[in-house]
Amino acid sequence: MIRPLSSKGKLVAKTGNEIAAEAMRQIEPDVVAAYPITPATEIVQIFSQFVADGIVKSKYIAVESEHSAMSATIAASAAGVRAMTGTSSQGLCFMWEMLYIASGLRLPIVMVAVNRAISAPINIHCDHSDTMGARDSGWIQIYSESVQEVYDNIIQAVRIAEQTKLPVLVTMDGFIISHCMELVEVYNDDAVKSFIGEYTPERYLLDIKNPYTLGSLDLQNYYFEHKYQIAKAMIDAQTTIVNIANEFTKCFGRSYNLYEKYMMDDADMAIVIIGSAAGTVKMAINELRSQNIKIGLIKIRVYRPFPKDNIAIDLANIKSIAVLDRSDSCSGAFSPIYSDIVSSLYSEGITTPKIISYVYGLGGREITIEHIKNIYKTLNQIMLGKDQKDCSIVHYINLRK
Amino acid sequence: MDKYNEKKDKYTTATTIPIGDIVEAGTASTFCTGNWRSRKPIWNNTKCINCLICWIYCPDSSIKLISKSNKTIVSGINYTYCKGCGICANVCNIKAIVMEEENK
Amino acid sequence: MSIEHKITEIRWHGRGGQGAKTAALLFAEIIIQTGEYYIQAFPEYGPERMGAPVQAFNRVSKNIITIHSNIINPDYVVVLDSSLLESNQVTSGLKCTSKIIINTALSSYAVSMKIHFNKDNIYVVNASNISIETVGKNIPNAPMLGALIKIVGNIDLNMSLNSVKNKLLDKFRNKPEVVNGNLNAISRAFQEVKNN
Repeated sequence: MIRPLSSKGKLVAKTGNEIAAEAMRQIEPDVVAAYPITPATEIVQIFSQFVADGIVKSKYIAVESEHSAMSATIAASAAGVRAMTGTSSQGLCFMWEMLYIASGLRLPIVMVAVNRAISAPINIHCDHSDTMGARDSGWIQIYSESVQEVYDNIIQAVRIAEQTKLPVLVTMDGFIISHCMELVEVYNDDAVKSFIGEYTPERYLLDIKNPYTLGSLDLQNYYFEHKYQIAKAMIDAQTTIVNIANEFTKCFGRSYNLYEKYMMDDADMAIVIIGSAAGTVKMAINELRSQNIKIGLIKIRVYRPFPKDNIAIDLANIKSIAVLDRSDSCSGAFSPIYSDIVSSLYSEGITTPKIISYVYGLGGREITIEHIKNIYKTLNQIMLGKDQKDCSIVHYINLRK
Repeated sequence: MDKYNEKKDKYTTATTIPIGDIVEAGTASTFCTGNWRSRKPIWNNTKCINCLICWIYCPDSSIKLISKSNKTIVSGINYTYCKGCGICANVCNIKAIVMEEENK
Repeated sequence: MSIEHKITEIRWHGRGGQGAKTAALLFAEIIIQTGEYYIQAFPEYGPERMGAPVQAFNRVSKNIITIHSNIINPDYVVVLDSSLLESNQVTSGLKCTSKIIINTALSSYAVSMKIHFNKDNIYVVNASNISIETVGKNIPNAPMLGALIKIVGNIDLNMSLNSVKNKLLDKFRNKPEVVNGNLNAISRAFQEVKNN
């Protein structure tokens, strides 16, 4: 019998979008402003039905674009209430300048982003180009592997945002998670409400007894300090995120960290990945482990702030590493996660592991267990010091070159 | 060392300034724009009909008002903040305010 | 349930509007009622157009399912529209042990001639007919769900009907009459699906 981990939980079958809307119902933010976009449409569609049915007291602002959605969310948050939104791909792109305003004004907004490729060419399927593009915008980014993680991450995100005073982006892979029904443990409303608590902002614009100016001109003399504050807050956020995850575990049973280690204790080879494909890699690793192959996985959950110190220590004794990116930075150099991993290791003085980069799954291109097994073969060759036919650092999976 | 770091202001470092581009209310009162002035407005008490158009238009709240027998009337110009923009003189229909050279 | 492999995989074939995706979701909800299995249900991802061939998928396992790639070698294939047999998508990736359930008036033998697959693993039910008689129009997803429940085996029919009923009452809160028709369709197909 499959049982919930928590006495406050029950098992239900829901898709990623449904569970995001469900989490939002339980959080009951004061304001939600959103504009629909595939594959995130259902989140706000279901949530707006909750509003229309009077199930939540939230105000729903129907806006004419994502730019306005983020603007309205920023305004609501600055006014002093909990504000949330959700979007995907082009919608996130259209929010771009407002993303920096949300983080620059230190507003604890929570956004659910469903990962989808960016046009052109038009494509509605999953890759991480949209949120990876926003990686330097001062938003905390938490990636989800499964429907369960989407739910748990959104609940934690509310507290992370309010404690760090940084906006938080919780992502799920478009269609692969957003439209996939899985068994998920939901916690009762009271338990979720008591975990996130009441929101009491230290300062808010509608506090007429303590007026202040927000968003003023900030030139050479202060802008730099304000940007440094965000950089510092991002570093400090790591501890906050871990503490909130620990409290979450105490409340609901599931444990979370900045990243997840899978079969890493005795591993010689490792794969580093983010998002739903981590689950597929776990299956492949199970098969390889049954043949006594010492391979492990690091699944990054919190991509911003990047857990550089710990990850470097955990990868220090690995002989060969493959970093899988579901986005191509088209930089002439390397993709985002690869760059972060390599610089994390190098800055700790760790230069022994051989690290190769794989770009996969753009525009929803399939990645299977067989593809992962092929990566293992390459990692093994590198570990054994054998010459590679293709000795380049950057590889592409399932691409017709 | 540049002038910003020399400033003995409580808002000087990233750890002491409020986060998120917050500027405290009322800080304009510590900023004396009066020393920007190259021309100054001169108010003529006898000509003034207290229409208060100048008070409405003044961007620096530098038209001083007082209450007198249940009426609000102009009492003068606050030269600590008046930066000499000349808007008051421009909007005054009866020329009760005129601009003069500052160092006349 | 006869779970021979670690993960049982099901592929649904239908046309946009026939409810293949809904059937896959309903099937997943039925399975979790057993309390024994983890499930996945997901549609073929793409813009949905009425009449275009569509697919939907299920995974069922006693262990937690972490894989998030597409289903390539299904254990069961459910075909909601017999005109789809003309394409080779229906038989793509089938293992010799896979079972295929088809909405058709033809016999298993006649279908096996068409798709070149072992007759013993082909199950047929006239779901369109059942649907017209019970729901009043040709929406064959509910009867095909009933047929799948029968062929997979060891799934309690009454438990399945209850699960579907709860879901449909929620979905059709303004049209409760639709619910009973669909439940009858499931029961009838459960009885009528055959291998001959």
